[in-house]
Amino acid sequence: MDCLAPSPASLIPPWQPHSISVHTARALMEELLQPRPMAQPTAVQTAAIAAATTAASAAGAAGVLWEPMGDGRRVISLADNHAVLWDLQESSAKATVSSTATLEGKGQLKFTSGKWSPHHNCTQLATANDTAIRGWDLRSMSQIYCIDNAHGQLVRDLDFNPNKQYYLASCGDDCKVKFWDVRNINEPVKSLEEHSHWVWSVRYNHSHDQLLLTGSSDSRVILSNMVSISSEPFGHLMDDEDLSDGEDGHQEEKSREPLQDSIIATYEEHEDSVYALEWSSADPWLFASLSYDGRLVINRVPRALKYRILL
Amino acid sequence: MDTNEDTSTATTPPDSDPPRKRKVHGMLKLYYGLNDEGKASDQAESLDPCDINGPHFDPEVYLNKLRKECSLGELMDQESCMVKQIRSLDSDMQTLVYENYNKFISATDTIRKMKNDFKKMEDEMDCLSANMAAITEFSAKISGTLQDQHAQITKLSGVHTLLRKLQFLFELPARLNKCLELQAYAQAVSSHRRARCVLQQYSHMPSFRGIQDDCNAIIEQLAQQLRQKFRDGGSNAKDLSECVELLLQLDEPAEELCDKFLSHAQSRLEADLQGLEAELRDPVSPSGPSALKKAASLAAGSPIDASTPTANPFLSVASKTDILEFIDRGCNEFVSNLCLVIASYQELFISRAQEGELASKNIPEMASRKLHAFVDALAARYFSLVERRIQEEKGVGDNSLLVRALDRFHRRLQAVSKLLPGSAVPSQGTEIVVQAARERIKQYLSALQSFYLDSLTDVRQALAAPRLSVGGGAGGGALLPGGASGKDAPPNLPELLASFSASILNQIKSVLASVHLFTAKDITFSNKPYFKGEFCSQGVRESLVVSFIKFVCQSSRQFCESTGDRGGSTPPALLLLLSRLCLDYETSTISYILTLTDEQFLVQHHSPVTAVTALCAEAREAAQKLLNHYVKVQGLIISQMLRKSVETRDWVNTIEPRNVRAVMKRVVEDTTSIDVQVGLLYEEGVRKAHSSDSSKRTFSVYSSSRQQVRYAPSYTPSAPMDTNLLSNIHKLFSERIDIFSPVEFNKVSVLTGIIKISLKTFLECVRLRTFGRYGLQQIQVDCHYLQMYLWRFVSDENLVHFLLDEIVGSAAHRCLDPAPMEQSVIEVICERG
Repeated sequence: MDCLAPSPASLIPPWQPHSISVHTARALMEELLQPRPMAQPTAVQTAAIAAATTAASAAGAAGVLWEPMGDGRRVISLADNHAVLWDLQESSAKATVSSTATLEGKGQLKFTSGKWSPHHNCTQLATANDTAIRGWDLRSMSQIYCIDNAHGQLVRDLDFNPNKQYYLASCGDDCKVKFWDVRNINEPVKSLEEHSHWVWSVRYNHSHDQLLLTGSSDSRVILSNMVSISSEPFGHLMDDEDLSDGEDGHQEEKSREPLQDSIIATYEEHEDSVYALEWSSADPWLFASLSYDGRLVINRVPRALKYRILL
Repeated sequence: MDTNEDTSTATTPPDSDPPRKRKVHGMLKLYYGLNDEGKASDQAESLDPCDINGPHFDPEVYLNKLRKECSLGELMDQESCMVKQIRSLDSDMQTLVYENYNKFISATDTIRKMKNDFKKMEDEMDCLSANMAAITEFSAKISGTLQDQHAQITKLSGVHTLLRKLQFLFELPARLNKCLELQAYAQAVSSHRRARCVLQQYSHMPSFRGIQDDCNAIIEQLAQQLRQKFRDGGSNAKDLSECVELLLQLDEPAEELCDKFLSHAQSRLEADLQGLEAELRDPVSPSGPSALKKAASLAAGSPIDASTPTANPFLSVASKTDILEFIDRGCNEFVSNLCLVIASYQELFISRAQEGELASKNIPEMASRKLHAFVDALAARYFSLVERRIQEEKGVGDNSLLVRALDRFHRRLQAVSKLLPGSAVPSQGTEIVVQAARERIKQYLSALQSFYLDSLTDVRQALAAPRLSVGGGAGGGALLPGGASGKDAPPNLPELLASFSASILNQIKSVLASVHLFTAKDITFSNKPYFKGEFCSQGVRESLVVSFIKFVCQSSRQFCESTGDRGGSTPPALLLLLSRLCLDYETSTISYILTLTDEQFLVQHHSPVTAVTALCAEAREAAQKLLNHYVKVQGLIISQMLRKSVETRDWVNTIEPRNVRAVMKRVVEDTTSIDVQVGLLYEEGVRKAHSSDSSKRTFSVYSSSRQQVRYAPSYTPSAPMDTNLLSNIHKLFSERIDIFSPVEFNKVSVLTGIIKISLKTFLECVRLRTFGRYGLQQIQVDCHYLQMYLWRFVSDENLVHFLLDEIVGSAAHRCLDPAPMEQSVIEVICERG
């Protein structure tokens, strides 16, 4: 199980907010700190882990990705320069390799992270290696796009916009968070540079995709509001709608100007590098972050913003 | 007699006294009986009977008075005095008589002679009056006889003049013909004009009609000839104007003449323009005999060119007329001809017409309208040519030629404006000058920019070229155990910076000097409002100087953005140098340049201009950005080394450490050379005080107390809790470290930034690995080594300690078998290395 130890970020499974407790956090931390296998894995987990173990050598696994939609029978493992798609038979604890893709190029290429796109009927995968981001078509297991030098340095994490199928966020060691439209990979749609050290993870809110969380080894978590590139109506689109409201809406409009791209909050509760972040899957206004010193912090989106988004 | 004696002695002293003279005069008057005139006044004055000189003198009274008043002696004196006076009066009288005697004699003679002459004259007068009467009589007689003949003569002379006139009329056709033959058009026209009215008046008589017809035919012919001459255009302007004058006298329609005149003038001016245009085009295609001839003639003209072969392509380029020559030619040919045309046109059609009968037909207005249109059209073409020529003036070497050309151009147009007060030509000309000036500034700006970029490239090359001179590198190298002094000795940065900024400043100054020509006193257009205000403030200051400074800042900033985040192609030394340059700009250069500009151009700001402070802020921002970027790039280079060293090693299965890893030595080496490099350009900066033995002291703290606490309990179950607690408490009290934070403009701050970045990378990389026992020990050795050498570079050594602490701590966390090495062993290893 050594393979799981090197990357603290990849170890946190999607968690349920109602079951979170200090104890769970401790357990998670122990998993991180002690390179021992997890206790009581379910059948599927066992199968996945088995699959990953089979696929990966002693070190170099970048992660295991569950199919974001569907019945969760498919899993992708990223290790060294291989991306392997596994098919898990429900009944048995055995996984079979359905297809593999190999990263080819000069030198020793290694996947550092990846993300399974929830769009396109789950047929796309985005991976990061060194400074490049690559897109894969799972049906043919072939590369569909490659953003070379997406970041100045290592790309640490990726996330797909849950509502806009071509939008992708990435973060890396150049302290930046970049947003990509994979149809036009020459230029990032937007680039943020708010952190003062490497950005380890980036997460879109599952339902309100203007909310974006980033965690960095400068031990900060930043919640930003990226209205301009979200699926929410923005700018003149919003104005057009407001025009139909007539004069009543006129005064309101003044009081609530359209939201701009901005940082909503910087959370500095952590004393050490923040390696993992996740939005709650039950409550869209709740999120947790985990730092190296084992501190798990749960925060809410500020109430004012919540109402502005909802109302 | 007694009384007389008495009075005279009493009143006046003798000799030379004005009253005495008067007295004598008065006596003479008395003698001649002339005293009636002055009587009244005298009476009024002296009724005193005792006044011896007065007219009412009474000797009795006077004597009595004397006798009563004076003593005997006095009377005696009085008497003798009076006697003396009487004597002198007598002698005076005698002299006067003698003097005047002769005069009296001659006067008497003259009077007698005159009496005789008058008698003779009377006789002659009588004779004369008799003669006159006779003459009158004769004259009356003669005029009576001549009366009839006189009337006859008068009549005859009248007939004579009439006949003379008639003769003139009859001879007119012949005379006109002769004039025509001799081409004495002016004479012919004046003759015809004289006869015209008469002929017109008597045209009902057949004989006169014949003459008139003849004359008209001839005049028609003459007009034809004149028109022909006019049309041919071979004649010079003077002839032409004469032609027009005559035609006007012959009642040609003025409008038509205007048109013809203008069209003729146009054709000649066109020729000038074409000459100019040809000059514009000509040098481009020097092939053909004419060009060769031209080149040859040019070569002959200048002895320098004479030696070079005519086929030489450079010659053709050189033979291209410079702009001054071009403008000169334009002025001399086109503009002066235009002025001539305007002047003669105005003379012919406008000023003359105003006097004569033509004025009634609104001809002056029509004519001047036509003239304006004509001048405008031609001037527009001329301007377009000039503009084209000016646009060809791309070289920024010598400005004076252009300025002089523009000046001449502008000056010559003033003549036009004097001739044609309402014309738009001069203002258009000024517009062109202004435009040219603006263009020029743009060119200078781009020249400055390219110069800047060129010198930047030079600096780059100088940085890239290996330097033999070690300079300050040796000092830094001495710190290292290995001694890497000569290996990558930094180029002499301060010198480079100084020469770089000096050359830029010089260039700016020379450009300013060139531009300054535009505002020289002797240039006519420099006094125009545009040149006094807008050109200086908007043009020179804003578009040239401020834009250039902004360009410098911006291009510097671009080094931070465009060149890839991996360090890119920009050498870090260049970043450092540029940062220092921008900082220098902020502190002094900008204000110096702007003050210089303001002084040279006496800029008066009518419109808002960029403030010095804004520019300084921009420069400072650029400097800050560059320095930050420098820190980032250098930090990254070291980070990459550390990362590679951590990632490529199998830390679990490693052997017991015997040495500090080479990478660490390299890190320290690089840091030292960076330190030297930065030290060349930036000041030391402040650091927190520490003892000379800091490395030892802090190391002992870090190893003995903390480390023991941290590693010892790792064998007991409660260990993780305590460790976390301790480190958390530590973090609570230490300040948060911003890794990529902006640095200050000093060496220590820069180095601190770089070391922070490097160590943080080291820390993060260590956290991603799993260590065996010896792996941990190796990290311990490495960190101790770094500890020994890095503290001296940073502002706060605790920072280094803290980060190194964290690294060792993290390695221990990630260690499968955390058994730390003996402190003394570590020290021995490090010192040996």
